[in-house]
This record gives sequence, C-alpha cells and structure tokens, in this order.
Amino acid sequence: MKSSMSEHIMAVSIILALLCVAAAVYVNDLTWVFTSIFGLCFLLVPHHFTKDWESSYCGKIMMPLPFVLAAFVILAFTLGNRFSMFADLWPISIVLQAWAMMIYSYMTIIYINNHLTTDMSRRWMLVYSMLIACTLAGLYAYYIFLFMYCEGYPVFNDPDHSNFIYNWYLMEQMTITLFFSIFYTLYLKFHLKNVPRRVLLSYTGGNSNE
Amino acid sequence: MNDIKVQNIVCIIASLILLGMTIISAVTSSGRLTYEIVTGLFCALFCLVPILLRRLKLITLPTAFIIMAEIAVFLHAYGVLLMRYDFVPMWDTVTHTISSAVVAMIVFYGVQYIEMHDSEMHATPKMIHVYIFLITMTFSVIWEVFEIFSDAAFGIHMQYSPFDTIRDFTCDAAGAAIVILFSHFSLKKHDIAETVNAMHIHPMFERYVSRHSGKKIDDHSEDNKN
Repeated sequence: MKSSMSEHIMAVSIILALLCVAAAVYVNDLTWVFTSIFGLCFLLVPHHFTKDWESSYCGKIMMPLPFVLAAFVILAFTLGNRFSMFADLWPISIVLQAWAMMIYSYMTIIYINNHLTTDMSRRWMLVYSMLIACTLAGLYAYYIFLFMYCEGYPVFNDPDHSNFIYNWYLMEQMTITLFFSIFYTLYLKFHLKNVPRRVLLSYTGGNSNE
Repeated sequence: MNDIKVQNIVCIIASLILLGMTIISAVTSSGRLTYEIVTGLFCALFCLVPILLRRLKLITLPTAFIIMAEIAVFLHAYGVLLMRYDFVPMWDTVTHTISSAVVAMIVFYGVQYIEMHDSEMHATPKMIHVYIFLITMTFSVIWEVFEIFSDAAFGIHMQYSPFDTIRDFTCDAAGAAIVILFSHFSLKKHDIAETVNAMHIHPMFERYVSRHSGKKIDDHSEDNKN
C-alpha cells in the first residue's frame, strides 16, 4: 500500500480515536475510553520516533481501524443508551472494541520489536497481540465489577439469588473478546501473509527510511 | 544432596502423605468411592509425575517448579480431604494463588525454551516478565470463560458470584507477580541456556519448535516478495 494512503488512514484514525473517547463518555463506557487512550498513545509512536506527522504504520495493519472506530462512533451517537454497558447492543460494542484492541495491540508489539531490544517472529507477534487484547479485557473486569457494585447489583455470594446473569455481565466482555480475538488473529495472519516482517516493523511515509 | 535426590524425596513424601490421608478418609467413609477419595488418589499419583517424566527421558523439571507444583497439589488434596475449603477462611484464595504461580512458572520455563530454540525470538529479561504476565492472565481469562460456559451448559456453579471471579483474577495476578519476582532473581543467577539445558528436554520438542520457528516463514515471505 502506498505511503500516502497509510498517512491518510493514520490521520483519520487519530481523529476517530479522539471521537471514540467522546462517544464512550456519551454512552458511559469507560472501557472504550481506556482503549482509545491506549490506542492513541501507540498511534502517535511513529510520529514520536520519526519527528514527522506523516509517518505511519504499514497500511495493511492500519486499514481496518478507521472502519471499526467509525462504526463505534456512529452507533454510539445514534443509538445512545442501547450501546452502553449491559444494554441490548453492548455485545456489538465489545466486538468492535476487541477488533480495535487487536490492532492497537499489534502496534504495541511493533513498538516492542522496534524499541525494546526484543525480536519476535510474525507468528509470535500475532500471538502476543491476542494476549494483550485478552489481558486488557481481563483487566477491564475490575472496572465492570466496580461499576456493578456502585450500581447496586448483587456482586457477592448470595444463596437467595441465582448469580448467573450477573456473572455473565462481568464475563461478557472477556468471553466475546477471547473468541473474536482468535478470529481476528486468523484474519490478520492471512491479511498480512505476504508482507515481510521488515515492512511490518517499519514506519512508512514522511522522512522515515522506507 | 543433589537436585535429583531432593526432587525424589519431595515427590515421594508428598505422595505418601496424601495416600495415607486418602486411606484414612476411605476407612472413615466405609470404603465408599467419594469425590474426596478420588481426588486424594489422583493427587497422590500426580505427585509422582515429575519422577515419571524424568524416567521416560521427556524432561527433568526444575526443582523450584516441582516444589511449587507439589505444594499446589498437596494443599488442594489436603483441603478436599479434610474439608479445609469449607472451614478455613481464604483456603481457596491461597490454593488458587499457588496454582496460578505454577501456571506462571510453566510459562517462564516455556518462554526460555522457545527463546533458546526459536531463531527469530529474542527477549530481554524484562520482556520475559511481560510475557509471563500476559500469558498467565490470558490463561486466567480462558479458565473463567470455561467456568461460565460450564455453568451455562450443565447448570452447575463453578462461578459463585462476580466477586468470586474478581478474586480469582486477583489471585492469578498475584501468582504471576510471585513468579515474575522469582524469574527476576533466577535470570540474574542463571542464563537461559543453563536453565534450559538442565531440563534435558527430549529432542523431539526441540525439533518441533525449530520446525515452526519464524525464520523459515519470513525467509519464505521475503523470497515471495523478491
């Protein structure tokens, strides 16, 4: 993919990630706020190291990101509360978030390979992207638990109530992220199949060395 | 006393104590094959697995790992046989943390093995700590998902409440943290090759890892590109 295309995708992604923060606050879902801030940090990594606003990751990695972020922003602002935590359309929000987290995690792995004297094969890059996405989903459970506790859900052992539905509220994000991250990993494996590792790891465009 | 002798003594003593406790439980329950007795027998046999693996020349497990695994198995069986899970507060929390530490140790040694045999893999000690945390927490997620699916499919109660799940996660994170601390000192004291060579892992595993090493895949891709 041409560098100019990557730069456009990068610029659009940064704007959409900022809009995601606003949309997440609007639907009261702080997991999206954290995901967007986490993603923004890694979206700005190429600029930080090349000192060039036109530098970007390989376009093939970035390509799905604007669609995912745009889908969340549009759906969150149009459907509002139906997209908030535990609402009927929350699973769609989680699916989109898992996709975004996989791409952000892949960027994290590129950062690790480029700047932390660590090398991984492409196979391990994909595996670790999935691990980061699943670990983040696991850590979000703390926020969801706190949210449930503050909202008065029965979060402690209670012999008078069946807790399955409340357990599922806590587990929904992890479960969906786990299954969809496997699917996304397979997609990325085939999507990036013919891209050499060197290209995957380089920052394209601007004054960078590609 | 060398490491092998220490390993044998730990495994055999743990196995004999559990076997003794299981026999006492069987006698007091009039010989019925209860869940407690099956668990006790299984754990007593499981304590001998490290010796079996060494005898089969598959792997010589590190002493630190064996001690941790034996403690985990022993405490679980002891808790089941003597009802410690029901009557001792936090028993579940302690066993869960130690079990997570065992999983994290498997990750620690596994990552070192891959680091040594995968030509495309190179990790600093700090990154090995990150890998331990990520893999252990992902195992934790997989386990909790397995629990909720079991609850839904079979109508059982593996997950009691959201608090129970969060406590399990915290135990898993604590187990990973313990092993990260252990790995910090271990990697300072021993280099990766020394640790991996001491395990005498069967060559078939080495062949498997080398065959799936990233180098060949990337060389192939570069060839296609050119």
